[in-house]
Amino acid sequence: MMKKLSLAMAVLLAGSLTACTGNAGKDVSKEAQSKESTTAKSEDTTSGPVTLTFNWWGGDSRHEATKKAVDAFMAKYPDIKVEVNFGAWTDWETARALEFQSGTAADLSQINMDWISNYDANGDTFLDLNTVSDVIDLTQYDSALLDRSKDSKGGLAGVPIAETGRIFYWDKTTFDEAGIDTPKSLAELRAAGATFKEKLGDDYYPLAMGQYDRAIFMTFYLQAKYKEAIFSDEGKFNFTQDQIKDGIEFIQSLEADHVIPSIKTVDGDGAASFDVNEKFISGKYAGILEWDSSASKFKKALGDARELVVGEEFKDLADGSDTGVFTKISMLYAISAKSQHPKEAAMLLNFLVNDPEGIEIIGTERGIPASKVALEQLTKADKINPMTGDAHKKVLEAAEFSMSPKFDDSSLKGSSGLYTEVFGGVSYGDYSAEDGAKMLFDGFSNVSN
Amino acid sequence: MSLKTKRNIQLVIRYTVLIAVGLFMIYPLLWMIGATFKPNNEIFSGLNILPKKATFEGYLNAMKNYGGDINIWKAMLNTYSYVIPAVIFTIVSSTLTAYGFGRFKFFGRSVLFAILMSTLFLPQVVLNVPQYIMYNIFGWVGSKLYLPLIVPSMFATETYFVFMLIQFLRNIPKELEEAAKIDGCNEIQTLIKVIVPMLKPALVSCALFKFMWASNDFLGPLLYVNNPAKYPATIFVKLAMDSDAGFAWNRILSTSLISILPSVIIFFIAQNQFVEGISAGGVKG
Amino acid sequence: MKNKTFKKVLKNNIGFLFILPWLIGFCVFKLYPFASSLYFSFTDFHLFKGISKYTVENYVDVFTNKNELKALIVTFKYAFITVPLKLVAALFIAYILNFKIKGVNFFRTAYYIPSILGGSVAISVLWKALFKDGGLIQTAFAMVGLHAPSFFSDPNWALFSISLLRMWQFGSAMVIFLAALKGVPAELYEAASIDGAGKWKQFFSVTVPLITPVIFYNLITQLVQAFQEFNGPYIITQGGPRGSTTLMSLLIYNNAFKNYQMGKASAQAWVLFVILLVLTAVAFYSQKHWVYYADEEK
Repeated sequence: MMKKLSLAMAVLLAGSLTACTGNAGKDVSKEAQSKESTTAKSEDTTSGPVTLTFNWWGGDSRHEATKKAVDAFMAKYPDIKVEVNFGAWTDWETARALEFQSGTAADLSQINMDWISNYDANGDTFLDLNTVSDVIDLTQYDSALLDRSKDSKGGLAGVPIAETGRIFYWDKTTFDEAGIDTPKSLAELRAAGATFKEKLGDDYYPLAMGQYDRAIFMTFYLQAKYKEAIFSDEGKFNFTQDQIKDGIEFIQSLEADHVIPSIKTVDGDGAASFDVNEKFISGKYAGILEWDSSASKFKKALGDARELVVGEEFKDLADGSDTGVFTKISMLYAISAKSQHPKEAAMLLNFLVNDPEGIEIIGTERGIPASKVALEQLTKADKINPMTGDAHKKVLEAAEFSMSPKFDDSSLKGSSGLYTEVFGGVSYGDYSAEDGAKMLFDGFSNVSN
Repeated sequence: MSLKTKRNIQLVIRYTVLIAVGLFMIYPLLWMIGATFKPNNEIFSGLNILPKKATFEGYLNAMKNYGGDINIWKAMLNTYSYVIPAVIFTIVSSTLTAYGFGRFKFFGRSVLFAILMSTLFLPQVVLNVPQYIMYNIFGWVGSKLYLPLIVPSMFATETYFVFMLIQFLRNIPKELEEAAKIDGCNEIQTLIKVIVPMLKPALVSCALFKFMWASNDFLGPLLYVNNPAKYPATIFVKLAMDSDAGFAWNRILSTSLISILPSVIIFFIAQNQFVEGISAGGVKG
Repeated sequence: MKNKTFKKVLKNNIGFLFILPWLIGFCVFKLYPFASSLYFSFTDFHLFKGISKYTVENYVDVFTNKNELKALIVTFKYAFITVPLKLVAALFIAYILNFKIKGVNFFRTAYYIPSILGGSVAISVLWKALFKDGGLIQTAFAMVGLHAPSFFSDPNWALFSISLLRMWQFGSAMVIFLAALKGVPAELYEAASIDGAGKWKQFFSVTVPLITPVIFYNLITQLVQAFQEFNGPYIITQGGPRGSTTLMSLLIYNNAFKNYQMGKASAQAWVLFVILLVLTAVAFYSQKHWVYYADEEK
């Protein structure tokens, strides 16, 4: 309707112009017509060779590798053209979510685990990949891992790219300046807090944590102490309000011991994440608890001047030697259920994760691959970044639980989620641990099955 | 104290105030320009505007692709690929509407005019959510042709401009139109031959404001453009800031400065039209 | 016969054809969204889950939920700090510029340019560079031996920093005032100065009353804009710390496009709209008492 009206308007105008001033008006009508024809053209891309769309987020090195892999794919299958769309993480999820909603999503997408429950509630956003299992070699995957990638209707919503968990990274240069070793236990970390304050100054901290990092570390603590996963495999929330309070107090004790800076301090840095935080880059924040797959990103942020090393998961969070560590599927490739070319999209997917050429190009840009053939090939070729490999190994060894996507529910995670509100509020002193525990307990219970 | 000294003192006070406030207005901008030529470790080390050691590092880095298949030049091209059509459509549709209301009597005119005026202060914030839902139904969200940012401008949706043009029309004598009518021109011919030339200064003002507003618009593209290769400059600058805020401030500020350069140039060329335009809306209202 | 009547009707209503695009645009892009927003506001419309019930909870929440109430209060604070200060600054500077000042064009340009650029993302970025920890303002304070606050981590100062960005853009209001002041007939001043009124007295007893319509106009436009501010808090402070710069428009954005709660967001938008409506109505009603129209046309 809009189009007709605008055209009518243009015609009215153009007609009037020609009536009074001769030919001068023709440009306007031409413009309107050419606009029409471009609209028509863009809607008509299905004829001829197949064109796929593929999108992902990440940093520059991931972009380079993935683009190269896509080029290799197109060279291998000249009839398939792939249009790529990639960018940084900021605002990425919102943009994609709105596409899933409007049904304009790309054929192939890199997605997060929690997107399956958030955007595929009725199972018709992502294609059930079992329908294209003749193209994608699913035998390369651990069946337990595939089970975790199912949507509510039991369809396989995505292929897991990698499994990941959080581990400490230490800026060894700063610890050297303080004259101590990087901490291998919570006790050493607490001691480092005092040493840093004394030897380096008030603005040096052995560890820095944002609100979401705090939620994760609190969960490690609770899972180690109470020997239970925060969410069961069925998605049931397992802790009591008192236990949550215990966890919040644990985090607050770190702040009190000068182990981590307050949220207020981190807010003041004005950086969206630690890899772009001046204090992390200059060594004032000498540690982070981050994904094993992020090693290279943080190493790059520090540059050559400072040495970043992979730490150990702590075994003294509670009595006994539990670490409380949980892992999750870090990313998946999913095909849109509305894709016109599911088979071709599946070919691209398989190329990226299971084809020797694709494996070689992508390397560990998305973490240590979950695909067995990929892992084998990369290990053989010595292509696994030693730091990423080391971090991943330590995480898997220490892991005791798998992380439910419930933990990343949009009501909890994100800048307007509950983690931000509670851990920020407690750190600022707006809430007591008691208040915070109640809010978190209610929030967890709300998403619990 | 003689009258003359009193006058001189007053003069000194006035200039002091003007210069002090002027400094507050201009210094940040000048500092920004200077900072784009500074090495990163110098930017926050002092208040000087001129760099101690000038470098083009910031600009060189600003040219690089960031966050996808996009750099500042492509982003600016994207911006103007919807800003310019939107400006043209706004001018045409607003002129038609203003002409209709300003010069004709027709059934329901007074009611419609009241509606028009009531939308002058209708806050956009109440429309964002439902418009989004509507564009989503139209399939316009993420449109590579920027439809949600262009199409509404075909329908005189910027009430402020219609209002401004009606105000201008009131001051144009009707005699000329009557003469044109006697010469045999119809309404449309009259509009083009008589009204438009007379309205020209107002039209230029409208075009300039629409240009500035549309190029500064951030929320619109944030909602309706979701392909990084299609990002306009506003979104690109925001992303560049998020990614480099830790250290590369010369890159961020260079990117920002480049992004507003066209607006600055246009402002200096057409200052008087801006001033006249904004005064007309307020004073004659 | 019929054809003739039609032609006549058309002839008498040809103006209608000219406003037709506007009328269509109004219905499609304003009236329909406006009405549907009201409808959504009484539902639990979730972008991905649809509507499951009708409710007034959204409205109740605005005034009872701690975060929503806070956003409302912060918005009021923001508007009532920035608008009066901006208007006073604009009027004051316009008043000075209205004397025969050398280089008036230069000053006018200097004051006006922030208004033209201030809404851009680039200037928000600049603001971040100025106010961040270790940014230019803190450097300046340190140079004179003072300790500047941490603007982005202290809830009070964060709102101040984005308020300052708005006040920095007083130029557009100033230009309007300046044009109005130029329209005040010189004879009136002469008359007043013969009566022995000083400059300040002249200003308040002659100038201000004459330009009240313009003050009124500026007041309304500035209020409407301030209540809708989005870019500053979104880009500079992300609404933080602790929600201290989460203005209503940002809250609405977050609810609608981060949490996909379209119903909730619509209700918040409507509350904001009604507030603006009331404020405008109060201003309009009260103008009888303080706004002076020379020709008393209105």
